[in-house]
Amino acid sequence: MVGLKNNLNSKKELINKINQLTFLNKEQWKYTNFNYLSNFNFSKNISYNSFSIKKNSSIEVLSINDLIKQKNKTYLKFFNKIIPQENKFILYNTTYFHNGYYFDINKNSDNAYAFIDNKITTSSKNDFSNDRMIFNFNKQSKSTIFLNEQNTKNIKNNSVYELYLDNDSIVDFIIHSNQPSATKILNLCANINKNATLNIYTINISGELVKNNYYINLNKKNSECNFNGIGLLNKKNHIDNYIEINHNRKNTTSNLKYNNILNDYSKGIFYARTVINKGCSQSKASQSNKNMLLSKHSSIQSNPQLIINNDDVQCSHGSTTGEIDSDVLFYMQSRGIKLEQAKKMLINSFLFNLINKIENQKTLSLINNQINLWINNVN
Amino acid sequence: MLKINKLNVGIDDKNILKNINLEIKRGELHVIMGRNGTGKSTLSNIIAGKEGYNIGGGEILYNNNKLLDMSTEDRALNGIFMSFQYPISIPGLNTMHFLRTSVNSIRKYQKKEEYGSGKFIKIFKEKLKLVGLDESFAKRSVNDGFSGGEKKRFEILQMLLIEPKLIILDETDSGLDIDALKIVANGINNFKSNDNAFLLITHYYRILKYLNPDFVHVLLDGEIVKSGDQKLALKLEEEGYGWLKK
Repeated sequence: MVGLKNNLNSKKELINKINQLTFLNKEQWKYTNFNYLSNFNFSKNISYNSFSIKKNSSIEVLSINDLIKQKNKTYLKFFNKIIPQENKFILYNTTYFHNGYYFDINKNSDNAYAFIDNKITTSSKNDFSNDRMIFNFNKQSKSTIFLNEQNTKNIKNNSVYELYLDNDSIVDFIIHSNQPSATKILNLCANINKNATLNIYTINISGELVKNNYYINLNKKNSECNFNGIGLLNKKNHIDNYIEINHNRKNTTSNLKYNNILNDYSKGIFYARTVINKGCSQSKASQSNKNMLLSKHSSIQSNPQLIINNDDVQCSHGSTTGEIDSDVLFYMQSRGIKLEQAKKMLINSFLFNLINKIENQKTLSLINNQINLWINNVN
Repeated sequence: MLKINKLNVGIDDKNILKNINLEIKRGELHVIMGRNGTGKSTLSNIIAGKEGYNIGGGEILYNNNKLLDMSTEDRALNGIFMSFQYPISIPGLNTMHFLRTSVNSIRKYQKKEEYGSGKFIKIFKEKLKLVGLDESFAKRSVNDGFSGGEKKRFEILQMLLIEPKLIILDETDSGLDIDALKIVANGINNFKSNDNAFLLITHYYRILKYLNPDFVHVLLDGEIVKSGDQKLALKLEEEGYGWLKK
């Protein structure tokens, strides 16, 4: 879907660019083998079922396809503006996207809510769907967006989400992905303005091959991002997370927490890169990655990076990986709690702090149920 | 209630407990004192069921059952409780959830009525007062961010809620200020009855003033080298362990 000047190059140019890019030229790609994706087709306009969207009146939803047909520059001024252009999957999406929604969250809305159920299936095993969403959170809006992806089918999905948070907006952006047979690439970019806060909750429960790329830009004073991630992996799941947070102004704050639990032969990758740019004094950044290995065959590659180019900042980062602590288990067993139950309680407690701040209780309840289902299946 | 016969325990190639004999009857309070590293905590851990030790011989009978054949949780379900020297922090695990799961697991096993939420909160608040902790503990994670004294009082709170039969207190008095020491001692005295028994491990005489133990044993280099009454603890407090030669 191409053609809008200033926002999109010509289709030919994009395809040329795609062909020039290789997957493995940067660290963010090197922990997952994408070579086998060369057999897949990103270029077909395929997808069925699409999205089911439930929302309240504080949110307007428009089709990006319609906006492009109408050449509606008011809405499309955001299209493709902040997305990194050196990401091949994003280029595929820009070139071929076929499902797209624009969400306009009303100014001053107090309790905007959207539940977006991703029901996309693809027609062939080799075809990728390319869906795209733009979220424009207007000034002083407070909202919860819940993106639900539950599907047991063998789907291939390459999605791009662009988030624009205007001044004083507060957003809970929740992604629940539970697609054990999915090959999925998610690209999420956010620009955060003055006094605005983006709380991301991403819960990845299983996935054959999942590559998540998050690009967060703290662009104005007092902008903040609290990123909370959970990965629950089993069988031969492979989930690769790249999280980039750019502090581009003074007094900006980022808190990144990502906990993974890995069972069976699963493999996880956590690569975070928080950059405090020059001139961004009084900024605060923290990174924490904790990984619990339930099987000696599971593994995690953890790489929390802080790049600090300015004095007068507060930064911390850390990573831990280990099995369930036998001393903790002994303590619980000595209180009459059976071993299996103790393990499940500990797994739950390992995740609790990452989701307990979700304000929408219905959403929190759904996520807790899914987490408990996964935990109950742990051997 | 508890009978230890010729127990030998080691870790790897090192013998820690040597030929331990000890009998604890209902209604009794026994104290074990000894220098650091003489095996006191090993004895506690062995009774509570911690893994990683080699049993070199001997046996422990608990109500005439072979204790060493029982799992850790089975020991707890059958009335054994250990107050940890270093209580474990579990970030993210809510205190109330932990306590209620623990108490109801044991009550269910013992064929007692399990506590519903309302009743448990009521009992929790009552016991909380006894150990001098405030109600905010209900919302905190288990031992997470607790001070040393709070952790020890939280152990006693668990004892009061679980109502065990054999209680091992592993240096529960260590690190307590005078007021907290009295609170902990009161908690023990209130709970002590002819139906239960205590094994207290301590370095200090000061808690014994409040507890009036029936027996005091001295453990040196893995062996019980002397047994007596409270006067023995007072003598150790005044003279140390130097006069006790194996």
